[in-house]
Parts: sequence; structure tokens; C-alpha cells
Amino acid sequence: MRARIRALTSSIVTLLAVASTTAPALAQPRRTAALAADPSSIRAWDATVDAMLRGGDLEVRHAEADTLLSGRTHVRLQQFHRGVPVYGAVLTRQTDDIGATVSIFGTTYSGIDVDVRPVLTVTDAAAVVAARTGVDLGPERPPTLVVLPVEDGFRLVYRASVFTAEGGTELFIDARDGAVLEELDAAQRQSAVGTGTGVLGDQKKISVSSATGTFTTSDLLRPPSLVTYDMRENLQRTLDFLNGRITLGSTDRAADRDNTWTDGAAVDAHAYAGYFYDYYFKRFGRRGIDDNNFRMLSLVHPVPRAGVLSQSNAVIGTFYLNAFYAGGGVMVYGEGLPSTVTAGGQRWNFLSGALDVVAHELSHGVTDFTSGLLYRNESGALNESFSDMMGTAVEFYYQPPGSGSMQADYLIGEDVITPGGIRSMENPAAYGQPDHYARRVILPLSSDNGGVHTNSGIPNQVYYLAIEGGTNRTSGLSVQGVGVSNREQIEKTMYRAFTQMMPADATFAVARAVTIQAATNLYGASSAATRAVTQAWTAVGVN
Amino acid sequence: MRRVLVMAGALLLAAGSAHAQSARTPSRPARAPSGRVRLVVNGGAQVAPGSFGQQFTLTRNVEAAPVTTDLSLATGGVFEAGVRLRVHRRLSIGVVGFIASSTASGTLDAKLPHPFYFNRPRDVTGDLTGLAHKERGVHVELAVPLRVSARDELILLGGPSYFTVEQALVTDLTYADSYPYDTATLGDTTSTVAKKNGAGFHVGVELPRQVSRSARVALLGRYARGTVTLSAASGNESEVHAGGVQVGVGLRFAF
Repeated sequence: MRARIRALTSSIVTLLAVASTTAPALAQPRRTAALAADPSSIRAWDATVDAMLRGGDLEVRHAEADTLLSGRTHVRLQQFHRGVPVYGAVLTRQTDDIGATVSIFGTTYSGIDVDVRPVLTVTDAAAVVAARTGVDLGPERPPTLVVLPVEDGFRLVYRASVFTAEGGTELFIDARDGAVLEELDAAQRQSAVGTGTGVLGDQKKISVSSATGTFTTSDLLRPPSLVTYDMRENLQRTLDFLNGRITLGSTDRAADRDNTWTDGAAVDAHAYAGYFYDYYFKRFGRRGIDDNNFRMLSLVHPVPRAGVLSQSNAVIGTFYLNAFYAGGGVMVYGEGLPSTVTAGGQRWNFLSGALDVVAHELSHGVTDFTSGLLYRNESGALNESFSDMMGTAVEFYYQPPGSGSMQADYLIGEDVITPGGIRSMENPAAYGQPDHYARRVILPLSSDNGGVHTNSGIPNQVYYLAIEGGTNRTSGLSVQGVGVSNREQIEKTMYRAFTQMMPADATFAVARAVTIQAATNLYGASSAATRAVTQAWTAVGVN
Repeated sequence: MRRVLVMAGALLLAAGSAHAQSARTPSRPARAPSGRVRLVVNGGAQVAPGSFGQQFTLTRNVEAAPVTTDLSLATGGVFEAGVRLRVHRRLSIGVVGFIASSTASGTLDAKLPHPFYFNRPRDVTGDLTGLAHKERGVHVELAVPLRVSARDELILLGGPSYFTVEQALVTDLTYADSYPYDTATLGDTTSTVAKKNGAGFHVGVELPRQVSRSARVALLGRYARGTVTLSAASGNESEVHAGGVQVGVGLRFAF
């Protein structure tokens, strides 16, 4: 049984409060209630938030200094109901150097009357997962209790992430009777990216470790644990690891005797994970996925490439023509296709071979640890888009601009999915994505989690226009971009907005407000960056 | 070697000229030498000529790391001892062994490859001090004495020199860096002593004064020069000049 999440308008309070000394409040309400744009409203919301904090209804989930704007601090607050987190109920509060609130974004729920004493135990919930998916969850990934908003109120549920050969699934199991209320695609997948580097023939350095005459892909030079595992085409072992049933050890790492690596998929997964870390550190001062050097584990060769023709479509879609962030700092890179096989008229190489794909997947990890953008509908599309933005940003950071192999552009996955890649931020419509809000697709959650890989074309277009400028093909509205030499401004704006200010259930309208606020804070209300971001959102029809 | 022969020839011409001048203007005969054999002992300082350097390549982070050094030798001490044999009234031949020591110092520059990326070297520089330098060898002297006064002579010297040069050369280095490894600082250097024989020449002038029937004290100035190519390792060769300007004092004992 599948259910759909419908936020209850009567019991949801969406907060969009902005205050700034450098700009007037720019945020617009995502829904009807609680537009608090003036200082007095912010004071009122501050008081509400403080009261909820004192009462234990809100807890600080994460606090960090703004690495891009000195003196600013961002606190992410998770709503709890009698000690159980409320799914998607997160506030982000930005304060200045004297502790005054500058902005608040997010959602809280009221009127929650759920009994938080579950009838089912964790073991019972795991049994439901096993019965439904055939997966026995290991101790590393037990189901956890959350309060889930549903159409007619709230439910106490167990939330569990499961990986099968058909892909990743997030289950919401009623803690009273074991009914599965929601089933979402848990793998934040890059559904059309891919390929490897050794195939492209480029030479790159990788940071490895050595022991007893063997080199393995464990980066000991960068601060986090950065390891690449060669799953040796063993899908079951891959699934066992993803489901927490086994752990991987040093013998699972990609290995080489002479330190001259020829496995392009492993080389690129490993090297590009390092590039990703370096980019975030140098550009934003961020230390990895969680800003605290959380592990980065890359899995390559989950399936045999030569055996693709004997696999089910689900396995092909998940482990051949896909890459995904599996949570917990784990990335899985698809195997691609044999050179004689095409899909959709395109050849697919090892997916770890594309820098933008790797950075895209790892940026999902950043989102997991920051905004937690819900992977459904518009928030899911924003989740996808932020990963595309960062994937492209990393590409431009390391590669020369151009349209050839290993050159930076606004295509996604073009180095490994040839010709053309799978998405274009410059022209989303060319890949079947909307480039304007009027053309957004409304899909059920059962279809790509509500079109997260489709509607991401809209914010993707914003990113492109804000940098390069130009005219949106649908609206005909022109945008004066900041220019390629100032792309860093848009990268920082998006990073700041998406990692420090964006609420988990943000819509495009909220994203507009948040990104404009971020640009205003960073560069001023009359800056080129703020102008470009504002014009870009307007050009794509998000106001 | 050609330069050595030319110099020796010039000295011989000078000797002949002095002899001719003496023949034209007979005067009070010079005091007879105390003997045909003289022991020579000198001590002084040597100012090394010019500078030298190294250019070699290490491998760091699977990439070439070019290293250059620019070194100068400090003024060092020199000690000589030998014997001269008068073969003619105006010509002596001597063999003087010498030993000189000094230290080299200067700077080191290296381009250290980045651990993560090709073609992104980090420039490091540092000072080098105390690289030991030693020279041993012999000067084969042709000495032409010119009488200046009853007690004083001016002796012109010259001839081939044979050097053994030992020089500590940098062979490796350590450095310190940390994430993100975009900069590095020089740590320690490793050196090895390279040794090589070579030939050169010397010219000089000596001002001895008779202080007793068998002893003289002398002021000595000499310029010696030789060049050797030292090899600290394959691909790590350095052309080093031996000798230099020497000034000192000495004793001469006649037998």
C-alpha cells in the first residue's frame, strides 16, 4: 500500500521571515499563513521559536558559522513531538554577530496529538521491511521513529531506508499496526549520468594508502575518511553493505600492485571525490559532506558490465545507468554499458568518470546534512538542482570551459553519456525538462518522487541565467548575469542559500526568497549577484 | 692544460727577462743562497672564486621536482708544505702540497609537485649553510726569484696544480605541508660528499725576507684555479671551482 504525503494546510505553519540590515525583507509566503517580513513579525517568531526551544518542541540539530559572511550564524532546528522528530519540520534561523535574527525559513506543525509510544518494536518494524522487500536490515541502519504528517493528521511511524537490486526505497511504517504508509525512492540517484575516466585516457593523481606491497584506495592525505571500494561485480555484497548487514574492509578497497592504476572507474571515483572535497573547502571553507569531515565512501563495479543483457530493467536502471547517494556518505556508481550497447541512443561509460556526476552525488550528501530538502515534489527538485549546480560548479573549477570531453559546460554527465549527457542547465527543454514554472510537471510521488529529476530544470535554468545571462526561452525575459568571471558569486549564493538557509520542505518560491536573501547578505541588495538571481527567478516564472 | 702551459711559458719568459736584466746591470752580487733545497711551509686564507650551484630533479608525488641550489664558498684556511729545489740561479722547481677547507652556503629553490594535481608545483625556498668543502693537492711550482734588496726577494711562482675536491652536495630534501597542500615549507636537506680529482694552475708572488742564514719568512699571494665536475648522484652534477685567491705567510728553511 502506498500513501501520499499531503501537508495539512490547517495544521501547518510555513514560516518565511526575513530581516536584514542590508536589504528589506524579500521573502514571499510559500503558503497562506505566517508571512512575517517585518521586524515585529520576526520578533514574534523569534519568541515562538524560543518558546518551542524551551518547551523541547524544537531542538538544535546543527549550528555553524557562516563561512562566507563573517559574523553570521545559521542554526537548523528540528521540531520534535514528545521527543520524536517530526518529518520535514525544520526551521533555519540566521543571526548576525550580535545574535539578532536576520532570517527564518521553514515549517513547523501544530496540533500534533500522536501518542509516541509505539506498539511495534524496532525489530517488528525491521520484520515488516524484510517481509515487504526481502531485505534484513543490519544493525547499522535500524528503522527510526518519526512523526509523519499525513492527510488526516499525523502518524507515528518507523522510517527505514532499504536497498534492493531494484533500487533504494524509503519506507514509512505505521508504528501501531505495521502498515506501510509511504514508500519513497530513497536513492537520490543521478538517473542519467555516467562513465569513467580511464576510458577517457586522462592521467590524474589519486591519493591512496599502501601496505605490504599493495596500494589501496584509501586517501590518507585529505582530512576525511575517503575510501573507494571495488565491489567486484557482486551485487548481493553491494546490497548487503547498503543495508547495513555487512561492513567493508581494507580487502574490499580497489587495489593495485604498482600504484599505476588502470581501473578507470575506481580511479575517477576516488580522485573526483577528492576534487569535490577540495572544491568545497577552497570555495566555501566547508569540510566535507557534514562540514566535519564525514566519511566519503565510493562503491564501483557493483555489477558485471558484460552481464547487462541478462539483468532486469530495474537492476540496469539502478546499477548500470545510474549513480546515487545512498546516505551515510556512501556513493554508488553505475557500471555503464559495454561499448557495443547503447541506451536511448547514447553510449554509457562508467558513471564515476564524470566529474559533475561525482560532485552531484556527493552534494546530495551535503544536502542531507544541511537543508535536508525532502526528496519529493518541488523540494526534491531543488535537492536535485542544487546537486546539478554544485556538479557544474566543480566542473568549472577544475576543467577549462568548452564543449569537448573533460571540458566544463552546463550539461550534466556529458563526459560519460555520449553524446550530450542527460540534462542541460542552459536549455532544459532540450532534455525534456521544463525551463519555466508554467511548464512544470505535476507527477504523483510514485513517478520520480513527484518529478524531482524533471522539475529541477527550472532552478537549473536560474543558475545558468544568473551566471551567463540570456533569455529564458519560454518567458522571453532577459537576465543580466554576473558573467563567467564572477561565477563564484553565484556559486556562493547558492551554496549559502541551500546549505544554511533553505528549509527542508522548500518550494521554488521559498527558494527564490532564500537565494535572493543569500545574495543580498553576501553582496548587497543592489549588487550584480542579487540582481541576477532575482531576474533569473522572475525569468523562469517563480515569483 | 693549454692555459697551464701558457702560464708556465710566461713565467719562463719572466725568468729569462730577469736574468737578462741582471746581466746588463751587474751590481753587488746577491747573497748566496743558503742551499739548493728549501722547505716551504705556508698558512693563510683562501678566498674562493665565484659561486657554484646544483640543478637536479627529485621525484615527489609521482612528478618531477626540480631543485636548484646557488652556493658560495666562504673564506677558509689553507695550509701548504713542500720543497723547492734550485735548478738554476734564477729558477727553482718545487712541489707544494696543500690542504684547504671551507664551507658553502647559499639558497635552495625547489618546485614540489602537488599531491593531488599535476602541474601545480609549490615553490619552496630555504637557506643552506655549512656544506663542507675540502681541497687537497699539489702545486708544481716554477719559482723565479728576483732580488729586491740584500734581504728581500720577489719570487714569481706559477705552474700546474692538481686538486682533489670534496664538496658536500644536496641530494634530497624534506618539506612540511598540510591540507590543502597548496603551499609547502622546506624542512631539512640531505647531502652527500662528492669527490673528484682535477687539474688547474696557479700563479703567485712571494716576498721572502732572510731572517737567518737558513730561514726566511715570506708573504705569499697566490691565485690557483681548477675546475671539477662533482657528481652527488646520477643527474646531480655540479661544476665546482677549486682554489681561489690565497694570501698567507710562510717559512722557508734552506739546506
